[in-house]
Amino acid sequence: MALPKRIIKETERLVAEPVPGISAVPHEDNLRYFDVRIHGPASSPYEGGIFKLELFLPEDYPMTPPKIRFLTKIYHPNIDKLGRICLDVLKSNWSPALQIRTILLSIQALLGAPNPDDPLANDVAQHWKENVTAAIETAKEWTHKYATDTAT
Amino acid sequence: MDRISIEIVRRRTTAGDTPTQLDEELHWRHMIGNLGNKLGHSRVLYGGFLLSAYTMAELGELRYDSELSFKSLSTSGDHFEVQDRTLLARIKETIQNEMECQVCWGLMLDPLTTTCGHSFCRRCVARLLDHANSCPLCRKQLSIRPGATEEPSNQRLRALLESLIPDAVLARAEVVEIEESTTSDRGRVPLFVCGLSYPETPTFLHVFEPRYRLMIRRAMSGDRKFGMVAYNGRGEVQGDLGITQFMQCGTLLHIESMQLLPDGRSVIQTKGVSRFRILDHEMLDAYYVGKTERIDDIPIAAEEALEAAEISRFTTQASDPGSPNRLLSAMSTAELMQLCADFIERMKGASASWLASNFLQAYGDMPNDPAVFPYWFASVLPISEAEKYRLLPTTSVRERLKITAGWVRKVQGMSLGGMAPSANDDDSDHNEENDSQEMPDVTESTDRANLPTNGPSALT
Repeated sequence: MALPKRIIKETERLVAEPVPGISAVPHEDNLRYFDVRIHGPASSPYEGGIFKLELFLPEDYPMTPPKIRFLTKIYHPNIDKLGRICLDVLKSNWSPALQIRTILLSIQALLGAPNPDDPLANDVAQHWKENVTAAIETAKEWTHKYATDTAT
Repeated sequence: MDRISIEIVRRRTTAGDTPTQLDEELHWRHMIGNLGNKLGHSRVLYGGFLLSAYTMAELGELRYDSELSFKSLSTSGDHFEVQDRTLLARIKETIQNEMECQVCWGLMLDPLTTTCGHSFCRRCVARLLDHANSCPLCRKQLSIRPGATEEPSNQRLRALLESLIPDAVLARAEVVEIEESTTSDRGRVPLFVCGLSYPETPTFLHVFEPRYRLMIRRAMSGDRKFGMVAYNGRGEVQGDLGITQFMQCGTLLHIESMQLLPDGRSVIQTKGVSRFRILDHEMLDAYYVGKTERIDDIPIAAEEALEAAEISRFTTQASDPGSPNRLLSAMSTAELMQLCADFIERMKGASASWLASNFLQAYGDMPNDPAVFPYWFASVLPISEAEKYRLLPTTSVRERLKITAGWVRKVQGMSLGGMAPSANDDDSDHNEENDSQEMPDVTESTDRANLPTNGPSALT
């Protein structure tokens, strides 16, 4: 089946008018599967890091949300060890009027504003609540260790 | 509209020196009773007819129902026409972009406006309702009935689209028509992956998954047909298709009646039309669509030849023609049918639970047509799905009756104290050249497991 018009248009616009600090490139052999890179927002513990994610548009997209997961390890109270993201617009608050672009912006914003009160990674959230400074320090270390060019 | 005024302003700065004399011609209502202001406004403006008219309206000198007469004062001739044409093209483009549905990102098709004031294609609203009941743009609850068939279209939007960009509207409608039409006569069949159905036999379905709501809605607006295929629960290879989620052979169903529930679920009653084999498949909006070929029975002459050939070949080996263990292949098609019919009679006499009145109410009484009888039998007899599936690829009545007669033998064998029922006819059937339908051992064990649960006492 040919790709729905909407997915083609979204992909074209993502390429033509890219969002600063975000890139999303579809796989050649599967145009529903995107390699995503998000730059850590300035003045966040993730600044300087480039985070890889995978994004998949299910068959009934945009009626159901895209499936997104962090591939780069990240220390964040709303992102768990498997890279799964706790974000309302990816679950119950999804709307077909949202799009890849807005979703990736929301994820970038989530990096800038961790929310330990709605945690996915309990241990990280606990750390964040008990000692913000130390937690942020760990997040910075992880960013440096896993999300920079020098990362192995 | 904002975008149009932006476009106008942008155009105004480039408007050349093409003066136009504009005279407002008032509607007759304004001519009477308002003696002080009988005359319309009159002005010389620049930028072609469209732009100057817009400017005049903006200045408040052009009433909504007034006519306007133009007279070019340009010395160079028709320069303004070029300007008008370019501006009109730009406005059309702007409107086309503005009229994009926020769900499908295509031109709004049959636009429908919600009570919260947002407009989408009618078909997109219907799909939204399959999943949620809120507006995608503002999340306000929608009060639109499932299917969105009763809501009026937004006539103003529709008129605007159809008068300003009729070609684009037509093109969009055609694309959607091609994308969504899966009419069975073109061999493209939408597939409902669920269970087994048979020709001439009813199937009742409760449709609740969003993708199947959409599929059934599309079928209802088309030829009311869709294909039913069973789950390939054991992950068996399906011919050239490889391992698919569904079995390769299925039944085309016609929707006889549909009851739409208020929450969008529906209960449908269907009747089997014909059998098909899937040659290829793809996804359409989360459900499968198969490229299919029809499976038909061989002509009657060929059927008779097959019968004669088999009987002559197997009668030589057969023992006593009156023996209950007589080879099925040595029996005439009529005898096979009789064997099954006798069995049904006996089971009725024994008040078998699978022949209870509620089953017969749904599937009807036993049909006497040997071509149809096996389908009816499969619908009521509690045996494994794998065994029943064997009926679908058959190409002769005889082949089907042999399968069903085999079931009868098996059930009888079991009720005679659990003897291995396959010892007699199934083994001898292996001698046949065309024995692709051989039953794997697993099937048999499923059979025995299935049978008693569906009414062991009735099988005595």
